[in-house]
Amino acid sequence: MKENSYNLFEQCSLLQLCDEVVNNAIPINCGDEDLDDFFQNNAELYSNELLGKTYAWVTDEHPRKIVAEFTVANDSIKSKLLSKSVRNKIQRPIDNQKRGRSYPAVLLGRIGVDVEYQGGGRHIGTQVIDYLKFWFRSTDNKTGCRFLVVDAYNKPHTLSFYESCGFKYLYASEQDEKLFYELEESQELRTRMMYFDLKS
Amino acid sequence: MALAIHTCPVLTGVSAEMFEKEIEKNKGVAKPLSETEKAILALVAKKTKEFKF
Repeated sequence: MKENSYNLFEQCSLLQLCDEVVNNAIPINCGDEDLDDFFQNNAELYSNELLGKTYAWVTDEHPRKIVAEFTVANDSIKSKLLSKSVRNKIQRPIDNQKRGRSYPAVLLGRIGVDVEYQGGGRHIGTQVIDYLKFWFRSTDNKTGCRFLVVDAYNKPHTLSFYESCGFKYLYASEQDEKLFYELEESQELRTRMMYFDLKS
Repeated sequence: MALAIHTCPVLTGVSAEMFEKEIEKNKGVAKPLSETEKAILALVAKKTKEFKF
């Protein structure tokens, strides 16, 4: 783990986002309108619908301030080594393993760090990711989960951040990923799917 | 980045091969948490339990 000028685990507490947190802590300002809007207006709705759980790192010092937030949801990665047309031609001899494998994963749907806590050697984002790696590898984890998955903004600094955390690209190329999303070659790929193998 | 509720990515061709090759590298049982990692989880759980506004 990196040396940090701010120890998230010692200086903050991790709380599931709920009315008490929203009403008593200074909300996060990530400097990203979309992220701030999600955390302030939609995160609880997603939670109530059991579509994603949002957690907040809140300062132990008063006034309480949300330093970072993240949302997680169940997901999976399906790998098909043979194309459908090839499988159809061969059919019976192929065992189930080769038809395709589905791996349990957890989707890091959103992650944000307050602008006041960005930079300055604090590495808050990295600490949040580290915590998630421990959390989902822990024997306390109630389900099997092999991978962390993130749909990262297709911007150099965002991608390099996840790479520095050990994430790899799920699709071999942007072209492959566009095929999955059924995008035209000329269309912009706004995000890149990346994964982290919790066994690595 | 919109919250993708079910991204459920499907890999085929080269992407599937690369992915399977990568995870083949991590054969064997999952690495247990180190004492430091366990201590962090325990600290965070304790603080969450005791937290009051």
